[in-house]
Amino acid sequence: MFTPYATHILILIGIYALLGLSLNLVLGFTGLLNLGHIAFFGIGAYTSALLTLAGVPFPLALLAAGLLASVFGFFLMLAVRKIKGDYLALVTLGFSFVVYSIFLNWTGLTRGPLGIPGIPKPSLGMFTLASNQGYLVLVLIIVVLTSLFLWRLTRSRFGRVLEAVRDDDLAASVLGKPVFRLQAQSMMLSSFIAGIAGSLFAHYLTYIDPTSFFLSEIILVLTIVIIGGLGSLRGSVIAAVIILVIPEVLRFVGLPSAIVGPMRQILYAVLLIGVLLLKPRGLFGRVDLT
Amino acid sequence: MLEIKNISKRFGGVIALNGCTFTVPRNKITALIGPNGAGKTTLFDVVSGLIRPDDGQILLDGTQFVSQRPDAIARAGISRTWQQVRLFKYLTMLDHLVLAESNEDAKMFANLASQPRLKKDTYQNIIDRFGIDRPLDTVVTELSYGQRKLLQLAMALHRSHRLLLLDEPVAGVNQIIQEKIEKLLTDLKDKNETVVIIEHDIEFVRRLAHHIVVLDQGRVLAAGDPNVVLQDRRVIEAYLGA
Repeated sequence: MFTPYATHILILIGIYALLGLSLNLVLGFTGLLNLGHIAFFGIGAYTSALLTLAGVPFPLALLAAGLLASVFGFFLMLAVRKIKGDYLALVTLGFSFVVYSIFLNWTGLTRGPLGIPGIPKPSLGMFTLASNQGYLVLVLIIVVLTSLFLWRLTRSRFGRVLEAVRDDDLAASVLGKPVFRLQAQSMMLSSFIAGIAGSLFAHYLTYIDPTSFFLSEIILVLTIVIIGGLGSLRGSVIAAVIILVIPEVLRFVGLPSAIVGPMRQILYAVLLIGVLLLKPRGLFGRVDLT
Repeated sequence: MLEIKNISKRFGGVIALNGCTFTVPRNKITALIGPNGAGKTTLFDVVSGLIRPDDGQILLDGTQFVSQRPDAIARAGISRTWQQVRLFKYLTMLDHLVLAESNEDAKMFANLASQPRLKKDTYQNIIDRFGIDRPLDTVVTELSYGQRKLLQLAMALHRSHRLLLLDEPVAGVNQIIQEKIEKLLTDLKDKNETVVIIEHDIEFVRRLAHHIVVLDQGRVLAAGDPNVVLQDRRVIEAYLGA
């Protein structure tokens, strides 16, 4: 159906679309500038990798990846419940550094910088998704189900309450809305999806190390959400396609390999600045980036 | 109805409320007046649960609720407006009225399973009654300041409530909107609602209120019938001027 190269790109698009969608739920719809999102991705990846290597079936490991990330999401929300705005961004960023340090230094569990190799390809019952084409189908199914779920959620009355909390949490609370519970639910759901994305990432690459869950990855996911637009699920998916496809063009330009990496970062920055200058709310955003 | 007992609140070296004590009678309109900085809005914030007092008690129908969260206090039946309008800037008028109507919308799984049909006619009737001449799907940032004040009042009244706290409902609006709001508040008087209103326009207060509480420097200077309180020498000296 697709060439192996196209299949590889599509799988990564799917995984980053999940990260973009989940960050948009908590940032674009609930108003929490969570820079610790990549930590949930990492928690999901390590949880799933370690469990499947210990013999746990993939579906259970996938679920556990989401659930454990979600538990961490709850505790992060509990820790930041009285913090807003820039301070919230700083504390959540600190959380991602702490989790990164744990991945790097708890060598008995994570093997530290050596990473975890040999993560098995997922098995679903009798089927082993050894081929990337099969894996792509699994990723696409999860992306579609997640998108439909979030679409339903954000268009429900509950979604409207989340938006009210985003716009003015104090005004929402004097209307009787339980602001902390709503924020915690949003954060837990968001981190659950990021954990699932982490599991898919680990089982696709079959190798993970802490560098996949560091600052540069947070910037990548944040760029997806901002370019797609806050409060737009469609925007996050389309931006994931743009962000992952455009740098691939560099492969065909014939630049030396030492330049390709930095050029990608420059390209992301130019793209981000360009979109924000021309469309301050991103491609499909409904909310200002303030 | 609402008993404020010995409420004190200090912000650093500033004493905002200093042993404030009074009672809000049921089915009456109580006006809370006093000079700027007297502690009126701070008192509303304390009653709404936004600020925790250093000392004192607040009882609504005999139930103490000082340590409760703002959302729990709101669900107990206290509905308020803000001096500076606070609305949800990306949402429409319809969204605001639906948000004000009930708190069933805060239940995630119940709302995923089913969506009640919006009673648009009901909401249209509300904005017609409040004289907001804009379509229901207007985003609130497109409304004039006066229309936003009216919407805020509509939300406070549309919520199921036992007590209304209205913080300067006619401040900053033009004469036409002021008359509309006065008419709506007079309707509240006729309906025997329990209301506490902060207001600086003494003539407006005289026309509307059954009961007046005068705050000065965080303590109650006088309280009682408007005709008596507004003649009180201490009130004239501290607030009304010679």
